[in-house]
Amino acid sequence: MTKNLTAGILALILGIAYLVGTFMVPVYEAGDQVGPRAFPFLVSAIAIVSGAALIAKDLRAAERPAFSWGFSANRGVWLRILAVMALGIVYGLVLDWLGYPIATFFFMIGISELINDGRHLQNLAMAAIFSVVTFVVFSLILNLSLPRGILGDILPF
Amino acid sequence: MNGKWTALSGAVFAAVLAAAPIAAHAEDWKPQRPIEIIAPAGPGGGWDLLSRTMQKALTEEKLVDRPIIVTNKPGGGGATGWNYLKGKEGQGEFLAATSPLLVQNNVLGKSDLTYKDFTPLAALMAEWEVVAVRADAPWKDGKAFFEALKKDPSSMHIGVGPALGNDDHIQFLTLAKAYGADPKSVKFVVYPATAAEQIPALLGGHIQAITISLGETLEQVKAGKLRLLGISSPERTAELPNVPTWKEQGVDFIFPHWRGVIAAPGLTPAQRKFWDDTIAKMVKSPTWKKALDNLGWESFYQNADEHTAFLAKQQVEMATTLKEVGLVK
Amino acid sequence: MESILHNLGLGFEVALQPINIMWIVIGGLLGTIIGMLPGLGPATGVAVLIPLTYGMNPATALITMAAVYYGAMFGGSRASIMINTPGDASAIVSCFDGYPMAKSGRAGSALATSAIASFIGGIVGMAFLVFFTAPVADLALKFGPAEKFSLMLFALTATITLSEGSVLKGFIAMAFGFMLATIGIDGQSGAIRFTMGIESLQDGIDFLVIMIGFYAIAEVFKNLSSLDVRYDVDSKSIGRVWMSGEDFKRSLMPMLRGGPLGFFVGVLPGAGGTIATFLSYAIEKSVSKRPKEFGKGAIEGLAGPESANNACSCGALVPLLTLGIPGSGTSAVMLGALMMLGVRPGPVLFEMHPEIAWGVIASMLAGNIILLFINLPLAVPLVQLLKTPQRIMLPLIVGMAYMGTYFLNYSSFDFVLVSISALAGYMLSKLEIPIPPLVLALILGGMTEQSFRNALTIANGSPAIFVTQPISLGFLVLAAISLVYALKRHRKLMQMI
Repeated sequence: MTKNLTAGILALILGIAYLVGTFMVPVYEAGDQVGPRAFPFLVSAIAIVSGAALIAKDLRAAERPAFSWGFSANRGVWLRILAVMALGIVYGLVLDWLGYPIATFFFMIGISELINDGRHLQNLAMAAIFSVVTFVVFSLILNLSLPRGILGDILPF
Repeated sequence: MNGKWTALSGAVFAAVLAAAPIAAHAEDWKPQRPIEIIAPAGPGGGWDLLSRTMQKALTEEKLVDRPIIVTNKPGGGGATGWNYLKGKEGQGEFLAATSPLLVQNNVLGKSDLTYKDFTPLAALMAEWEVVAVRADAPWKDGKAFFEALKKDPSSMHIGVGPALGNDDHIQFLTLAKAYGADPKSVKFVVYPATAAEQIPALLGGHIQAITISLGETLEQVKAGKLRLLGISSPERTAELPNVPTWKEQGVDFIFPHWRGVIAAPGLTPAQRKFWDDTIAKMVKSPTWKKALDNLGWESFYQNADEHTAFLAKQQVEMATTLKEVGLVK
Repeated sequence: MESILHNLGLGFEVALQPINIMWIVIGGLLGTIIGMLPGLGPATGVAVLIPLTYGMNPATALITMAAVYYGAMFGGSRASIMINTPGDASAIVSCFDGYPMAKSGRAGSALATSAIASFIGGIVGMAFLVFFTAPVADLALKFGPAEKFSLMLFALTATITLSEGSVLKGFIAMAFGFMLATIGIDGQSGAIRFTMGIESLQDGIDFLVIMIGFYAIAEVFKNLSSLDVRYDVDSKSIGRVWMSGEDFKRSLMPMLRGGPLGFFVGVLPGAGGTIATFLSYAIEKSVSKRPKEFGKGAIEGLAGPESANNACSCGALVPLLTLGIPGSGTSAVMLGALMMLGVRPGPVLFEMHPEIAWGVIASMLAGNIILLFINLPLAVPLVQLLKTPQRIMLPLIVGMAYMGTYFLNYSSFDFVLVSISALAGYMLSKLEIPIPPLVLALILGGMTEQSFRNALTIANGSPAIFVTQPISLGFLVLAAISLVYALKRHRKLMQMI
């Protein structure tokens, strides 16, 4: 595998999947002559043609440097990346329920433990300061709406 | 509840309560925590302005003794914010801004929510709909315009925004039908940025007319660049007395683009009564009246009972109208 | 001419009142700070000020809001340069050369260039606002859907052909951007497209969510493999927040070209700042004698777009002041606030309240000078931030990125999107698929499709409209030229292999 081959195959797969999706778009009587499908057809054509051309170009190329995602060589990095993603998604799921300050506090502890591992006290302080300061500045001083969640019944302001 | 804070706020607002004595019956209800008004759109739009105007009037007139926060929850043509409100069942501190979209989205099949999922509290204000053409256009009134449209629909392009199926679109379809043109033959050009694109497109001659709410066109009409062919109000407006209503022109079409306020579902009678009374006081207050004046909005007040009946009627009428103009099968 | 100068004099009388100067400083500072944070742009900055404006007279209110607006334009690129995290869409281009400059130890010089270019762009924009508002507003009216479509096509091809790497990968990136842009309800027909049954996707994907994922968080991912490496910070050279004579000479023409370009694009409603900055970058790269340096820290690639961006924010005020309609999200919020004060901006404003209209214009000149003096010293502590260890910096960037994401739509579903897009952005950059065409296609996708369809509706289905309209034809020719130029360069490279 080379970079170009991987990129070309990716474009080809996504282009075909998108083309299938385009056929699933409903067409209504109201609207315009062009309709909701024309532009997506064009886009899938661009993806498929460019992807195929990139694959062809790569197969004919004289030099084909190997490419690897490094899933095993850089396992630590990939695991951290996945952990950050998972934390972010969980953060979103609990945000409305826990409220911004509490959810952010736990999220920041998680993130900083991943990146700044081992320094628990430092991380605890950073998480607490970050969640309180941003909440006070943006929600209370600047009046932007941040969810209060279970804190809503306790906060007097 | 934090005892100290209750005591403190009690002391601060004692004067207010003394000035406006409320009979202290056991079944009376008052907000127990910060009040949240949900604007189901981003900052700057009609719902946001309405929510912030309410926040301002209720606070400055000291009609409630809890702080009010405005929460922006844009998305789904209002559905995101309203769904959030629906989840607050029985909690009297949660309100949301609303408009005919609550009815239309349901009739059009875009959303399952109806007014029955909430406690309707009041209609507050309305804007009227107009059809605007360039000041140098040949059509002087609705009849001349729609005759031309009937004759050659492909030479008449109508700007509408941000998407088809809203009040602006419905107004034009209804008028076209009333004047005897085929609503399906009308060529609509959709402008997602609404007036910001519609007005330059009209002034630049790319389209022949726009269907839009009155406020967006006001400055251009005053500057003599646009002409309004008709307005959906029952009587001519004070601001533009030269613009005839559709009714005067023989089309029985009165169409307010109203906005109002709903509360969470499942409120107790005491909770509903609190807001009914409070909003009744708010709309009479000078702060509210001045704010409406500044925004160029007309008052369109209905109390909770009137508004609930009005919504039930709109739900039926809207379904008929949308069927007639071909938006619903 | 004389009346313009008279009116400008009147405007300065208003703008230079101490209370207004004070609000310019406060607004400008607030705007700069808000502009630096990912996801928080000028629209949010103006919105948070609205309660403060309740008690003001309308002139002061508008002056304060305008100060926040261009303050955010100054601030937007700070984070682009320092941590490769654009504050908003119009600061994306500042990453291309600003971040490489900072990495190679020229952060101070980059920050100074950006502040000075912003200042010059602001002054050029203001001069155009004073002297050419009427003709430019008239020219903007000639832009119908066909012209807009061709302009966007040109911006896209220019970005593809001028970005590093292969043209094919540029097209692939553009297609990916368009794919993301078409997710959601189609406004014209009401058809739901590509949502895969997920209701939260019906309103489409906010491009800023993708941008925060691709830039801010993906950048953190890239740094995870080198946690203990500090940025190449030589405290002596970064401490100097100033442009050298050579830097200034190289930047002057790009700044002067960027100004008028940005102003005109800003007058057109839509994603003005983004198109303006990308086009300015493309122009600078194609006229430069050293195109190879672009993307590796060419000062022209920073100065031109920065100037275009600030001039663009002046241009965006033209529709607001002359037509009474908002040209951008920010001016929409300003319009709402002014209406609450009982003032309706529009053609009548200049006659009824010249002190407001001209006061604002004059305040922008004063404001740009004040902001220059805020931003140059502010760069010194900012540069010191680069010395913060990565282990502390990266978690804070992640926290800020998620918070900024929430402020975009107040939706926690966006946290899922931003997390996925961060991974996607990281993987795309491993494959060397260029990000700029993807992001630009995502931003312009909706408008590109809509203007294509509107143009065909107006022409009753005949695609000839794109070539019979002279302005549209002009942009199409430019797009074709940039494509041919790229293919030629491409062929040369192929022969070399």
